[in-house]
Amino acid sequence: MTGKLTLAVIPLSGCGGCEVQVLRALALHEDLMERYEIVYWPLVVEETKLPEKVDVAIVEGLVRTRENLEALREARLRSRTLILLGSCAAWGGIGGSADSFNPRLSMKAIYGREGIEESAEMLPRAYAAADLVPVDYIISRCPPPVEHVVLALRAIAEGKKVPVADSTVCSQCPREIKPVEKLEFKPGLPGPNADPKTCFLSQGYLCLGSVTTVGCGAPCTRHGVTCFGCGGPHIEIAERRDMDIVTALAKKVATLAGLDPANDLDKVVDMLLKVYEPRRFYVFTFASQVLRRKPHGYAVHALASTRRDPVFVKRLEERAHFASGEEGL
Amino acid sequence: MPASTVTIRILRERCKKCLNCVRVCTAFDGVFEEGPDGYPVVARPEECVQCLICHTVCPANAIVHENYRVTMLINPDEAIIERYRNMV
Ligand code: SF4
Ligand code: SF4
Ligand code: SF4
Ligand code: SF4
Ligand code: SF4
Repeated sequence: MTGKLTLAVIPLSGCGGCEVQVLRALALHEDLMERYEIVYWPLVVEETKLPEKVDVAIVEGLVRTRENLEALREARLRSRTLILLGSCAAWGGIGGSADSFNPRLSMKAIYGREGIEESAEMLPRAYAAADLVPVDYIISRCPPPVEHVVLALRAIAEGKKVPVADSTVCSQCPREIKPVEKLEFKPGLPGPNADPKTCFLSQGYLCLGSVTTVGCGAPCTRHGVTCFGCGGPHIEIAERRDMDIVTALAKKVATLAGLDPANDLDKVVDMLLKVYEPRRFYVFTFASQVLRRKPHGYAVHALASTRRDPVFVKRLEERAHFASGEEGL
Repeated sequence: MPASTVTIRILRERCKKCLNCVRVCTAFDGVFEEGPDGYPVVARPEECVQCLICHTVCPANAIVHENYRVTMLINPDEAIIERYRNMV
Protein backbone atom coordinates (compact mmCIF):
# COMPACT_ATOMS: atom_id res chain seq x y z
CA MET A 1 0.00 0.00 0.00
CA THR A 2 2.80 2.39 0.80
CA GLY A 3 2.72 5.43 -1.38
CA LYS A 4 0.67 3.81 -4.11
CA LEU A 5 -2.52 5.33 -5.40
CA THR A 6 -5.53 3.05 -5.41
CA LEU A 7 -7.10 2.46 -8.80
CA ALA A 8 -10.54 1.08 -9.64
CA VAL A 9 -11.86 0.32 -13.11
CA ILE A 10 -15.62 0.22 -13.39
CA PRO A 11 -17.21 -1.12 -16.57
CA LEU A 12 -20.72 0.02 -17.45
CA SER A 13 -22.34 -0.91 -20.78
CA GLY A 14 -19.22 -0.88 -22.93
CA CYS A 15 -17.50 -3.40 -25.15
CA GLY A 16 -14.43 -3.91 -22.98
CA GLY A 17 -12.15 -2.30 -25.54
CA CYS A 18 -11.35 0.62 -23.28
CA GLU A 19 -10.57 -1.75 -20.40
CA VAL A 20 -8.09 -3.52 -22.67
CA GLN A 21 -6.41 -0.16 -23.27
CA VAL A 22 -5.97 0.34 -19.51
CA LEU A 23 -4.63 -3.18 -19.28
CA ARG A 24 -2.16 -2.47 -22.04
CA ALA A 25 -1.16 0.84 -20.49
CA LEU A 26 -0.33 -0.88 -17.21
CA ALA A 27 1.36 -3.85 -18.85
CA LEU A 28 3.56 -1.75 -21.10
CA HIS A 29 4.58 0.86 -18.54
CA GLU A 30 6.18 -0.44 -15.40
CA ASP A 31 6.24 2.93 -13.73
CA LEU A 32 2.44 2.88 -13.66
CA MET A 33 2.38 -0.48 -11.91
CA GLU A 34 4.73 1.01 -9.33
CA ARG A 35 2.45 3.97 -8.77
CA TYR A 36 -0.97 2.34 -8.80
CA GLU A 37 -2.51 -0.50 -6.91
CA ILE A 38 -5.57 -2.07 -8.49
CA VAL A 39 -8.19 -2.41 -5.77
CA TYR A 40 -11.25 -3.13 -7.89
CA TRP A 41 -11.61 -4.24 -11.50
CA PRO A 42 -13.93 -7.14 -12.28
CA LEU A 43 -11.85 -8.10 -15.32
CA VAL A 44 -8.58 -8.35 -13.41
CA VAL A 45 -8.91 -8.79 -9.64
CA GLU A 46 -11.21 -10.93 -7.52
CA GLU A 47 -12.48 -8.16 -5.26
CA THR A 48 -16.25 -7.93 -5.81
CA LYS A 49 -16.98 -4.63 -4.06
CA LEU A 50 -15.81 -1.15 -4.89
CA PRO A 51 -13.96 0.14 -1.76
CA GLU A 52 -15.40 3.11 0.16
CA LYS A 53 -12.58 5.36 -1.04
CA VAL A 54 -10.35 5.12 -4.10
CA ASP A 55 -7.86 7.62 -5.44
CA VAL A 56 -8.58 7.15 -9.11
CA ALA A 57 -11.62 5.55 -10.71
CA ILE A 58 -11.84 4.85 -14.43
CA VAL A 59 -15.30 4.31 -15.89
CA GLU A 60 -15.90 2.65 -19.25
CA GLY A 61 -19.12 2.48 -21.20
CA LEU A 62 -22.47 4.20 -21.37
CA VAL A 63 -25.40 4.09 -18.97
CA ARG A 64 -28.07 1.73 -20.25
CA THR A 65 -29.41 -0.01 -17.14
CA ARG A 66 -30.29 1.06 -13.60
CA GLU A 67 -27.32 -0.99 -12.41
CA ASN A 68 -25.03 1.11 -14.65
CA LEU A 69 -26.45 4.28 -13.17
CA GLU A 70 -25.87 3.10 -9.61
CA ALA A 71 -22.34 1.95 -10.41
CA LEU A 72 -21.56 5.34 -11.96
CA ARG A 73 -22.91 7.26 -8.96
CA GLU A 74 -20.96 5.04 -6.62
CA ALA A 75 -17.80 5.60 -8.67
CA ARG A 76 -18.26 9.35 -8.41
CA LEU A 77 -18.99 9.38 -4.69
CA ARG A 78 -16.11 7.13 -3.75
CA SER A 79 -13.32 8.42 -5.98
CA ARG A 80 -11.06 11.40 -5.62
CA THR A 81 -10.41 11.60 -9.34
CA LEU A 82 -12.93 10.22 -11.82
CA ILE A 83 -11.83 9.52 -15.37
CA LEU A 84 -14.36 8.70 -18.05
CA LEU A 85 -12.72 6.55 -20.65
CA GLY A 86 -13.85 6.20 -24.23
CA SER A 87 -16.50 7.69 -26.45
CA CYS A 88 -19.22 5.59 -24.81
CA ALA A 89 -18.63 7.23 -21.44
CA ALA A 90 -18.03 10.66 -22.97
CA TRP A 91 -20.69 10.85 -25.68
CA GLY A 92 -22.65 7.59 -25.59
CA GLY A 93 -20.43 6.11 -28.29
CA ILE A 94 -21.46 3.31 -30.61
CA GLY A 95 -23.67 1.89 -27.87
CA GLY A 96 -25.66 5.12 -27.96
CA SER A 97 -27.18 3.90 -31.22
CA ALA A 98 -29.36 1.74 -28.96
CA ASP A 99 -31.52 4.86 -28.78
CA SER A 100 -32.54 4.19 -32.37
CA PHE A 101 -35.22 1.93 -30.93
CA ASN A 102 -37.58 1.89 -28.05
CA PRO A 103 -35.94 -0.52 -25.51
CA ARG A 104 -39.16 -2.53 -25.09
CA LEU A 105 -39.33 -3.10 -28.83
CA SER A 106 -35.66 -4.08 -28.88
CA MET A 107 -36.34 -6.64 -26.14
CA LYS A 108 -39.27 -7.94 -28.12
CA ALA A 109 -37.22 -8.22 -31.29
CA ILE A 110 -34.49 -10.16 -29.51
CA TYR A 111 -36.28 -12.18 -26.83
CA GLY A 112 -39.86 -12.16 -28.09
CA ARG A 113 -40.98 -10.49 -24.86
CA GLU A 114 -41.03 -6.87 -23.73
CA GLY A 115 -39.25 -7.64 -20.52
CA ILE A 116 -37.56 -10.50 -18.70
CA GLU A 117 -37.78 -10.48 -14.90
CA GLU A 118 -34.28 -11.77 -14.28
CA SER A 119 -32.62 -9.36 -16.73
CA ALA A 120 -31.21 -5.95 -15.79
CA GLU A 121 -33.66 -3.07 -15.61
CA MET A 122 -33.36 -1.09 -18.83
CA LEU A 123 -33.57 2.69 -18.60
CA PRO A 124 -35.91 4.30 -21.13
CA ARG A 125 -32.97 5.76 -23.03
CA ALA A 126 -29.20 5.46 -23.23
CA TYR A 127 -27.05 8.10 -21.51
CA ALA A 128 -23.48 9.21 -21.89
CA ALA A 129 -21.93 8.86 -18.43
CA ALA A 130 -20.52 12.38 -18.79
CA ASP A 131 -24.05 13.78 -18.91
CA LEU A 132 -24.97 12.34 -15.51
CA VAL A 133 -22.21 13.05 -12.98
CA PRO A 134 -19.49 15.68 -12.58
CA VAL A 135 -16.21 14.28 -13.85
CA ASP A 136 -12.55 15.22 -13.58
CA TYR A 137 -11.21 13.93 -16.89
CA ILE A 138 -12.67 12.69 -20.10
CA ILE A 139 -10.43 10.63 -22.38
CA SER A 140 -12.50 10.31 -25.50
CA ARG A 141 -12.15 8.10 -28.62
CA CYS A 142 -13.17 4.55 -29.42
CA PRO A 143 -10.99 3.21 -27.94
CA PRO A 144 -8.64 5.93 -26.67
CA PRO A 145 -4.99 5.32 -27.63
CA VAL A 146 -2.91 3.70 -24.88
CA GLU A 147 -0.66 6.78 -24.80
CA HIS A 148 -3.55 8.95 -23.63
CA VAL A 149 -4.29 6.61 -20.75
CA VAL A 150 -0.61 6.54 -19.80
CA LEU A 151 -0.32 10.32 -19.98
CA ALA A 152 -3.34 10.83 -17.76
CA LEU A 153 -2.41 8.23 -15.15
CA ARG A 154 1.17 9.50 -15.00
CA ALA A 155 0.14 13.14 -14.65
CA ILE A 156 -2.36 12.32 -11.91
CA ALA A 157 0.25 10.30 -10.01
CA GLU A 158 2.63 13.24 -10.21
CA GLY A 159 -0.04 15.72 -9.17
CA LYS A 160 0.22 17.52 -12.48
CA LYS A 161 -2.37 18.71 -14.93
CA VAL A 162 -3.03 16.42 -17.84
CA PRO A 163 -1.81 18.15 -21.00
CA VAL A 164 -4.59 18.75 -23.50
CA ALA A 165 -4.47 19.47 -27.23
CA ASP A 166 -7.17 21.52 -28.92
CA SER A 167 -6.75 20.76 -32.60
CA THR A 168 -8.61 18.42 -34.95
CA VAL A 169 -7.83 15.15 -36.75
CA CYS A 170 -7.00 17.16 -39.91
CA SER A 171 -3.86 18.53 -38.25
CA GLN A 172 -2.46 14.97 -38.12
CA CYS A 173 -3.82 13.85 -41.47
CA PRO A 174 -1.29 13.78 -44.33
CA ARG A 175 -3.90 14.42 -47.05
CA GLU A 176 -3.71 17.72 -48.86
CA ILE A 177 -6.78 19.93 -48.72
CA LYS A 178 -7.61 21.46 -52.10
CA PRO A 179 -10.32 23.96 -52.89
CA VAL A 180 -13.62 22.43 -53.98
CA GLU A 181 -14.48 23.43 -57.54
CA LYS A 182 -18.03 22.26 -57.66
CA LEU A 183 -19.78 21.44 -54.43
CA GLU A 184 -21.35 18.00 -54.47
CA PHE A 185 -21.30 15.11 -52.06
CA LYS A 186 -20.85 11.50 -53.00
CA PRO A 187 -22.86 8.99 -51.01
CA GLY A 188 -21.14 5.99 -49.47
CA LEU A 189 -17.46 5.50 -48.83
CA PRO A 190 -14.46 6.27 -51.05
CA GLY A 191 -13.57 3.32 -53.26
CA PRO A 192 -10.24 2.32 -54.77
CA ASN A 193 -10.49 5.14 -57.29
CA ALA A 194 -10.27 7.88 -54.68
CA ASP A 195 -7.05 9.89 -54.77
CA PRO A 196 -4.86 8.66 -51.85
CA LYS A 197 -3.10 12.02 -51.37
CA THR A 198 -6.00 14.45 -51.48
CA CYS A 199 -8.38 15.30 -48.64
CA PHE A 200 -11.67 13.41 -48.79
CA LEU A 201 -13.68 16.62 -48.45
CA SER A 202 -11.92 18.03 -51.50
CA GLN A 203 -13.01 14.89 -53.38
CA GLY A 204 -16.63 15.17 -52.29
CA TYR A 205 -16.64 12.41 -49.65
CA LEU A 206 -17.90 12.96 -46.15
CA CYS A 207 -15.00 13.05 -43.68
CA LEU A 208 -15.51 14.19 -40.08
CA GLY A 209 -11.81 14.88 -39.42
CA SER A 210 -12.17 18.65 -39.29
CA VAL A 211 -14.85 18.49 -36.59
CA THR A 212 -13.28 15.69 -34.55
CA THR A 213 -10.87 16.13 -31.70
CA VAL A 214 -7.16 15.48 -32.34
CA GLY A 215 -5.16 12.63 -30.84
CA CYS A 216 -5.43 9.44 -32.90
CA GLY A 217 -2.87 10.35 -35.58
CA ALA A 218 -5.55 9.98 -38.29
CA PRO A 219 -5.06 6.24 -38.93
CA CYS A 220 -8.31 5.96 -40.89
CA THR A 221 -7.63 8.64 -43.48
CA ARG A 222 -4.08 7.32 -43.87
CA HIS A 223 -5.58 3.97 -44.84
CA GLY A 224 -8.19 5.25 -47.25
CA VAL A 225 -11.18 5.40 -44.93
CA THR A 226 -12.87 8.65 -44.01
CA CYS A 227 -12.94 9.75 -40.38
CA PHE A 228 -16.19 8.72 -38.69
CA GLY A 229 -15.54 10.92 -35.68
CA CYS A 230 -14.80 8.22 -33.11
CA GLY A 231 -12.88 10.79 -31.06
CA GLY A 232 -15.98 12.86 -30.45
CA PRO A 233 -16.55 16.46 -31.45
CA HIS A 234 -13.81 19.05 -31.31
CA ILE A 235 -13.81 20.91 -28.01
CA GLU A 236 -15.22 24.17 -29.41
CA ILE A 237 -18.12 22.33 -30.97
CA ALA A 238 -18.82 20.61 -27.68
CA GLU A 239 -18.61 23.80 -25.68
CA ARG A 240 -20.30 26.41 -27.80
CA ARG A 241 -24.07 26.50 -28.01
CA ASP A 242 -23.99 27.99 -31.49
CA MET A 243 -21.91 25.15 -32.89
CA ASP A 244 -22.79 21.64 -33.91
CA ILE A 245 -21.12 18.87 -35.88
CA VAL A 246 -23.18 19.36 -39.05
CA THR A 247 -23.09 23.16 -39.09
CA ALA A 248 -19.38 23.38 -38.24
CA LEU A 249 -18.55 20.96 -41.03
CA ALA A 250 -20.83 22.76 -43.48
CA LYS A 251 -19.10 26.09 -42.77
CA LYS A 252 -15.68 24.64 -43.49
CA VAL A 253 -16.80 22.91 -46.67
CA ALA A 254 -18.67 26.00 -47.86
CA THR A 255 -15.52 28.09 -47.51
CA LEU A 256 -13.46 25.48 -49.35
CA ALA A 257 -15.96 25.74 -52.18
CA GLY A 258 -15.69 29.52 -52.27
CA LEU A 259 -19.14 30.03 -50.76
CA ASP A 260 -19.97 32.25 -47.82
CA PRO A 261 -19.97 30.28 -44.55
CA ALA A 262 -22.75 32.44 -43.12
CA ASN A 263 -25.07 33.16 -46.05
CA ASP A 264 -24.71 29.81 -47.77
CA LEU A 265 -24.76 27.73 -44.59
CA ASP A 266 -28.34 26.49 -44.93
CA LYS A 267 -27.76 25.49 -48.51
CA VAL A 268 -24.73 23.36 -47.65
CA VAL A 269 -26.42 21.82 -44.60
CA ASP A 270 -29.39 20.87 -46.80
CA MET A 271 -27.05 19.27 -49.31
CA LEU A 272 -25.30 17.27 -46.60
CA LEU A 273 -28.53 16.06 -45.04
CA LYS A 274 -29.96 15.11 -48.39
CA VAL A 275 -27.04 12.87 -49.29
CA TYR A 276 -26.30 11.40 -45.85
CA GLU A 277 -28.60 10.11 -43.12
CA PRO A 278 -28.41 12.59 -40.23
CA ARG A 279 -27.25 9.77 -37.92
CA ARG A 280 -24.05 9.47 -39.97
CA PHE A 281 -22.79 12.64 -38.25
CA TYR A 282 -23.53 11.32 -34.77
CA VAL A 283 -22.31 7.71 -34.96
CA PHE A 284 -20.37 8.14 -31.70
CA THR A 285 -22.48 10.88 -30.12
CA PHE A 286 -26.02 9.67 -30.74
CA ALA A 287 -26.92 9.53 -27.03
CA SER A 288 -25.08 12.70 -25.97
CA GLN A 289 -27.19 15.28 -24.23
CA VAL A 290 -24.56 17.91 -25.01
CA LEU A 291 -25.34 17.55 -28.73
CA ARG A 292 -29.07 16.95 -28.34
CA ARG A 293 -29.34 20.32 -26.59
CA LYS A 294 -27.74 22.33 -29.39
CA PRO A 295 -30.22 24.94 -30.65
CA HIS A 296 -28.78 24.74 -34.16
CA GLY A 297 -27.88 21.08 -34.06
CA TYR A 298 -29.21 18.00 -35.80
CA ALA A 299 -28.77 15.31 -33.14
CA VAL A 300 -32.46 15.25 -32.21
CA HIS A 301 -33.29 15.32 -35.89
CA ALA A 302 -31.03 12.27 -36.34
CA LEU A 303 -32.77 10.51 -33.45
CA ALA A 304 -36.25 11.17 -34.81
CA SER A 305 -35.47 10.26 -38.39
CA THR A 306 -33.72 7.05 -37.29
CA ARG A 307 -36.65 5.97 -35.14
CA ARG A 308 -38.97 6.57 -38.06
CA ASP A 309 -36.76 5.00 -40.70
CA PRO A 310 -39.14 2.62 -42.51
CA VAL A 311 -36.36 0.09 -43.20
CA PHE A 312 -35.43 -0.04 -39.50
CA VAL A 313 -39.03 -0.22 -38.35
CA LYS A 314 -39.84 -3.01 -40.78
CA ARG A 315 -36.80 -5.03 -39.75
CA LEU A 316 -37.61 -4.59 -36.09
CA GLU A 317 -41.18 -5.77 -36.66
CA GLU A 318 -40.03 -8.77 -38.65
CA ARG A 319 -37.52 -9.63 -35.99
CA ALA A 320 -40.12 -9.32 -33.22
CA HIS A 321 -42.47 -11.54 -35.19
CA PHE A 322 -39.75 -14.13 -35.72
CA ALA A 323 -38.64 -13.99 -32.08
CA SER A 324 -42.14 -14.50 -30.73
CA GLY A 325 -42.72 -17.32 -33.20
CA GLU A 326 -39.57 -19.02 -32.01
CA GLU A 327 -40.80 -18.71 -28.45
CA GLY A 328 -43.80 -20.91 -29.25
CA LEU A 329 -41.70 -23.72 -30.68
CA MET B 1 -10.86 48.20 -31.21
CA PRO B 2 -7.29 48.22 -29.91
CA ALA B 3 -5.97 46.24 -32.83
CA SER B 4 -2.39 46.90 -31.83
CA THR B 5 -2.75 44.68 -28.78
CA VAL B 6 -4.01 41.75 -30.86
CA THR B 7 -1.46 39.38 -32.29
CA ILE B 8 -2.55 36.83 -34.86
CA ARG B 9 -0.51 33.68 -35.21
CA ILE B 10 -0.77 30.71 -37.51
CA LEU B 11 0.28 27.45 -35.89
CA ARG B 12 2.23 25.94 -38.76
CA GLU B 13 2.48 22.46 -37.30
CA ARG B 14 -1.31 22.30 -37.53
CA CYS B 15 -2.01 24.34 -40.66
CA LYS B 16 -3.23 22.39 -43.69
CA LYS B 17 -2.52 25.18 -46.19
CA CYS B 18 -6.15 25.04 -47.30
CA LEU B 19 -6.33 28.86 -47.34
CA ASN B 20 -9.86 28.91 -45.97
CA CYS B 21 -8.66 31.78 -43.77
CA VAL B 22 -7.58 33.83 -46.80
CA ARG B 23 -10.92 33.15 -48.50
CA VAL B 24 -13.13 33.96 -45.56
CA CYS B 25 -11.61 36.99 -43.84
CA THR B 26 -14.22 39.67 -43.20
CA ALA B 27 -11.83 42.61 -43.05
CA PHE B 28 -11.97 44.96 -46.05
CA ASP B 29 -8.50 44.23 -47.37
CA GLY B 30 -8.20 40.81 -45.84
CA VAL B 31 -5.88 40.02 -42.97
CA PHE B 32 -4.28 36.94 -44.51
CA GLU B 33 -2.40 36.37 -47.72
CA GLU B 34 -0.97 33.27 -49.27
CA GLY B 35 2.76 33.18 -48.54
CA PRO B 36 5.46 31.95 -50.95
CA ASP B 37 5.57 28.51 -49.29
CA GLY B 38 1.80 28.04 -49.48
CA TYR B 39 1.17 28.80 -45.82
CA PRO B 40 -1.01 31.80 -45.04
CA VAL B 41 0.79 34.86 -43.67
CA VAL B 42 -0.70 37.49 -41.41
CA ALA B 43 -0.20 40.43 -43.74
CA ARG B 44 -2.49 43.08 -42.27
CA PRO B 45 -3.28 42.30 -38.63
CA GLU B 46 -4.43 45.88 -38.03
CA GLU B 47 -7.39 45.25 -40.36
CA CYS B 48 -8.80 42.48 -38.18
CA VAL B 49 -12.31 43.15 -36.88
CA GLN B 50 -12.09 40.14 -34.59
CA CYS B 51 -15.10 38.39 -36.01
CA LEU B 52 -13.33 35.06 -35.56
CA ILE B 53 -15.03 33.47 -38.55
CA CYS B 54 -11.56 32.37 -39.67
CA HIS B 55 -11.44 30.12 -36.58
CA THR B 56 -14.76 28.59 -37.47
CA VAL B 57 -13.73 27.63 -40.99
CA CYS B 58 -10.18 26.51 -40.23
CA PRO B 59 -10.20 22.71 -40.35
CA ALA B 60 -7.27 22.39 -37.95
CA ASN B 61 -7.90 25.11 -35.35
CA ALA B 62 -4.56 26.58 -36.38
CA ILE B 63 -5.26 30.30 -35.92
CA VAL B 64 -4.58 32.06 -32.64
CA HIS B 65 -5.74 35.57 -31.83
CA GLU B 66 -3.64 36.45 -28.82
CA ASN B 67 -4.92 39.00 -26.32
CA TYR B 68 -8.40 38.67 -27.62
CA ARG B 69 -10.47 35.67 -26.66
CA VAL B 70 -8.99 33.66 -23.86
CA THR B 71 -11.37 30.80 -24.67
CA MET B 72 -8.99 29.79 -27.42
CA LEU B 73 -6.08 29.50 -25.06
CA ILE B 74 -7.52 27.93 -21.95
CA ASN B 75 -7.25 24.25 -21.25
CA PRO B 76 -10.39 22.94 -22.93
CA ASP B 77 -10.82 19.93 -20.67
CA GLU B 78 -10.86 22.16 -17.62
CA ALA B 79 -13.59 24.20 -19.24
CA ILE B 80 -15.79 21.24 -19.93
CA ILE B 81 -15.26 19.91 -16.42
CA GLU B 82 -16.30 23.27 -15.04
CA ARG B 83 -19.43 23.13 -17.13
CA TYR B 84 -20.31 19.69 -15.84
CA ARG B 85 -19.70 20.84 -12.29
CA ASN B 86 -22.15 23.64 -12.78
CA MET B 87 -24.72 21.30 -14.27
CA VAL B 88 -25.16 19.01 -11.30
S1 SF4 C 1 -15.57 3.66 -26.40
FE1 SF4 C 1 -15.36 2.06 -27.95
S2 SF4 C 1 -13.78 0.70 -27.12
FE2 SF4 C 1 -14.56 1.92 -25.41
S3 SF4 C 1 -16.22 0.73 -24.51
FE3 SF4 C 1 -17.14 2.10 -26.01
S4 SF4 C 1 -17.27 0.88 -27.87
FE4 SF4 C 1 -15.80 -0.14 -26.54
S1 SF4 D 1 -11.14 16.31 -43.75
FE1 SF4 D 1 -10.47 14.19 -43.49
S2 SF4 D 1 -9.22 13.71 -45.28
FE2 SF4 D 1 -9.43 15.95 -45.17
S3 SF4 D 1 -7.60 16.60 -44.09
FE3 SF4 D 1 -9.23 16.37 -42.58
S4 SF4 D 1 -9.01 14.29 -41.80
FE4 SF4 D 1 -7.82 14.42 -43.70
S1 SF4 E 1 -9.43 9.20 -37.94
FE1 SF4 E 1 -11.45 9.60 -37.02
S2 SF4 E 1 -12.48 7.61 -36.94
FE2 SF4 E 1 -10.27 7.22 -37.29
S3 SF4 E 1 -9.39 6.92 -35.23
FE3 SF4 E 1 -9.19 9.10 -35.71
S4 SF4 E 1 -11.05 10.06 -34.86
FE4 SF4 E 1 -11.42 7.86 -34.97
S1 SF4 F 1 -7.73 27.93 -42.58
FE1 SF4 F 1 -6.38 27.04 -41.03
S2 SF4 F 1 -5.49 25.25 -42.00
FE2 SF4 F 1 -6.36 26.48 -43.63
S3 SF4 F 1 -4.65 27.73 -44.35
FE3 SF4 F 1 -5.74 28.93 -42.80
S4 SF4 F 1 -4.67 28.48 -40.87
FE4 SF4 F 1 -4.06 26.93 -42.35
S1 SF4 G 1 -11.10 37.41 -36.99
FE1 SF4 G 1 -12.26 37.99 -38.84
S2 SF4 G 1 -11.27 39.88 -39.51
FE2 SF4 G 1 -9.85 38.90 -38.07
S3 SF4 G 1 -8.49 37.65 -39.30
FE3 SF4 G 1 -10.19 36.32 -38.72
S4 SF4 G 1 -11.70 36.48 -40.37
FE4 SF4 G 1 -10.26 38.19 -40.61
